[in-house]
Amino acid sequence: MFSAIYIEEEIKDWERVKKISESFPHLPKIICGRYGEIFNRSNQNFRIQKKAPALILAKKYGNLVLPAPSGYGFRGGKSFYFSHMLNCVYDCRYCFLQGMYRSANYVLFVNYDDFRVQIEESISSCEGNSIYYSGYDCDSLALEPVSHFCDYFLRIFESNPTGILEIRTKSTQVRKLLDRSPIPNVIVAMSFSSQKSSLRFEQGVPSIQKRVSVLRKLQEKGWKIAIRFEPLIFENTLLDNYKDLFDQLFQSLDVNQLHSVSLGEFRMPKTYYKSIVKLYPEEELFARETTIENGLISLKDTDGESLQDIENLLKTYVSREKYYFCG
Amino acid sequence: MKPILQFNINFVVAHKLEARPLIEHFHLKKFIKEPFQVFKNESGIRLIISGMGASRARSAVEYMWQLDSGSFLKEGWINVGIAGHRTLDLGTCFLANKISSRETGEVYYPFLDWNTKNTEGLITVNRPEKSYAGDEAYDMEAAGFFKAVSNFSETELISSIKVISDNKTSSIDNITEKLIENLMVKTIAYVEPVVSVLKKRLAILNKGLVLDRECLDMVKSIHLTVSQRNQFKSLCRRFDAMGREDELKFILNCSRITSDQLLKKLTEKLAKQAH
Repeated sequence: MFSAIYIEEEIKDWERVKKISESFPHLPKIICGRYGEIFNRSNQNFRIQKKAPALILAKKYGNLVLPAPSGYGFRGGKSFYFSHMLNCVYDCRYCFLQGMYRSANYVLFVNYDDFRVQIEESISSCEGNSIYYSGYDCDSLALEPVSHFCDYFLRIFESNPTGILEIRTKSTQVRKLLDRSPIPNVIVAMSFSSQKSSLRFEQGVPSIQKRVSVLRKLQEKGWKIAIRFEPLIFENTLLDNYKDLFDQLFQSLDVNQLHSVSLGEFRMPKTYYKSIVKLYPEEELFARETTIENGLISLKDTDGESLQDIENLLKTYVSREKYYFCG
Repeated sequence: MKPILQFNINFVVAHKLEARPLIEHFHLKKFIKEPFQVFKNESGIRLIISGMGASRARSAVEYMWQLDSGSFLKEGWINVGIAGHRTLDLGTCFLANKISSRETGEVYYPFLDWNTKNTEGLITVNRPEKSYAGDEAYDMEAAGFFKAVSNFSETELISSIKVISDNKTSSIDNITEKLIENLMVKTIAYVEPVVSVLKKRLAILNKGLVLDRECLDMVKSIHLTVSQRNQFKSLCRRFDAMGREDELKFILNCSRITSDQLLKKLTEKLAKQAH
């Protein structure tokens, strides 16, 4: 799973750190000062590291709960995000994290108590509901057996019902959720691309079939679930491919019980994009025509109306109230 | 486009005695005598004898780097040598997972691959260490080596492999020439997989650079400004990524064309794309 474990000197004796470390008895354990010595140094290659990433156990300082980027997520209150982890176990070629970070190593911030304090302060400071996204800088559930994210963070939201948690994931690691009663203010949001895109660009991600299957189990158990169709990557027979995906999903799930469904295109800051192109010069995806708007790069819609067509198609499956465009 | 399959991997070794087993194993021939002895073979393996100490290791790396000042390709770098440790048995080989300089306090973290067997922390000292405090091993070159290579190379292309030559029960005073050679022979089993992994990484990292050079060579007669060169390379890489190498080759082979016309042509052709 990891090539090595780096541990910040300050936290090396913490119980959570010891437990994680002891789960991997054969891995080299290397003590470092601050995680940035490894994660942020110059002259690293994300692509090479992604073949053998290490786990870095660290303590996060400063603002642990941040305002969500504009246009991110659904309406229903002030929006925030928090990242207990940096980087994702999956290797999606379109992922902006490849351009955002110099390192492909996973950083797990283990000072969960500090996260709890700041999340609860944030919830208290908001009038009415506030929304908290997890899974912006990582996949929230994919490393659950190591991080025990659910064990800790679900309790925070269970006891703070005006804080709405969206767990963004592509993982099928939902055992912890299925083994307990659902929490009304927690939403499990699963991301999907078309089968063609998924097979081509999402290395290591569970199959669409498996993800649909766990969503169904979660829904049957009473968990609120949401579907995120992003990033939408233009391809031949795009509409047909998405029709297949929509059929597969909405025939398996109770559409009326869905929390929300969203659509988002492939989009990232120009600087990230340029870094990724350097990492994968032979990748056809990054050789395509692009457009730039407000410093954000997106793929040029060569057909001109693909996005609109997909949106129209999606609206034939779900009500307008449940749908939003993530842009 | 023809791929260049051979990339340089440079060994930096402090002493001739440490170098000898590597020279024999890789069939290296001396090609420079001064200021450093440098050896190489036909498959891109090179070895420089740096002399003892971090500062000599640094100078040797810089010398080797300057030897290649005309090269556009990335290279692999491996420091191999003896080290002391409080408890590890003589002949134990390991990859350094953390290299600290006692003199400067600087710390380096070499990249580790899956299933890397035997890794240890390494402290680079100015004088032979006889007290063997702590759990780390001690050497005299690795920090200088790593610092120098880090200035121009990705961390993933740098490794340091050591073999234990002395410990609490067998002091540094017991080291003989024969012992050094015998110990260094043991490192070969560790060196081989590192060389193999570095070659794979070099193939990935150099792919785009090889393409850039081949394309630039095809339009040698056209003067490109720095900004045009960058634009040209980016356009050529896009053609290649789309599997349109033949079309690219055809365009680049067109004669009597200005730089502006060339870039315009490439851009226009690329716009006609299908996914």
